[in-house]
Amino acid sequence: MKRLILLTLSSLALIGSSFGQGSRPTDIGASTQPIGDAGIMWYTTWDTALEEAKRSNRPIFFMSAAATCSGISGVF
Amino acid sequence: MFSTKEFIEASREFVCVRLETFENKEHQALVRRILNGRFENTAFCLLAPDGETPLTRSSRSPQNILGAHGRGPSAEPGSNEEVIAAMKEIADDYSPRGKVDEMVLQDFHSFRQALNVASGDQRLLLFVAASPGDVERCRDTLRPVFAHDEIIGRFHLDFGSAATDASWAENVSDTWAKSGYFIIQADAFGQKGKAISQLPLTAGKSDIAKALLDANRLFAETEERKVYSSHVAEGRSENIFFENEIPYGEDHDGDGEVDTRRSGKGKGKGKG
Repeated sequence: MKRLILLTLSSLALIGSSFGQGSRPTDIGASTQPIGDAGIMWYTTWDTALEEAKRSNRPIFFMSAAATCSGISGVF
Repeated sequence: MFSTKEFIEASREFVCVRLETFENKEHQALVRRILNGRFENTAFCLLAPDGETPLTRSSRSPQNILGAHGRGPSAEPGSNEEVIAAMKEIADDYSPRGKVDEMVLQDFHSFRQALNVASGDQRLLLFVAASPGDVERCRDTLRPVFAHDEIIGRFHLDFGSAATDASWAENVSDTWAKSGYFIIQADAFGQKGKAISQLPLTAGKSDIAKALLDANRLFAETEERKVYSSHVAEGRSENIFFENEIPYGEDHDGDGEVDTRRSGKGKGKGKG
């Protein structure tokens, strides 16, 4: 019960902080597909992406996103 | 949208790059360039292969820009179908060249970041711990592996660097060697991991591919998708914090300073 209350309070705090940061896009790369399925092949440094774009003559789909929420890691 | 088969297929016509916004000054500068001086935690734009020429306006997500309804500052976001159609129209202007199995491989600036991103995406991470003299040979081995239909888009890949990753093994359990190919499952908060498979640097393409597919099969059977709100709530209760080089915060007016109504936490100390 204590844990449930704590989680609820934390969730409310999260909503508050999200408003403070402006709206969070609903889809910034986190996947809802089954785990293990093929997704987007992301490059994660600019240098490698640019080198590959020049090599393959493909346009660049650029995104930046934080793999944290209010400093809490492990989530997009 | 990013999870649909149609979008993923359309994305293959592009070089998709997703930078961690707060990772370092280089990323911050790039985000500011894309967002015309502003700094926000998400940014999106399509660029020509030269990396300089914008092919679309910039915004926080593709839906805000691509598709008939996505154009214009006050328009409704584009639907998935419209976004995909607009992407295909742009990709059709380019003729891809070069062999797929000669592609540049993914890499990260640090193992620490790779582990966190793998956790966020809930993908396995292949970490290559090799001396500088062995790394190029490893890249040659891995290029055709990571171009294969059954591998592409299912894993993250990081090559260790002596400069940033000397202590990588301290945060990974079940390793039996200092060098090799390590298939790592990140923990929920991406600050620790465990090696669920490892191969020597002499391993061949087929052995690596088999190990990846076997590990992915097991991972798919045992891992559950995170729920964003409860993950963050749990992180708060456990005092989890991941420090990046750039303090958290946004600069919506593009004056070069993080907006003062928010308090950045970039100076805090992380767990793990």
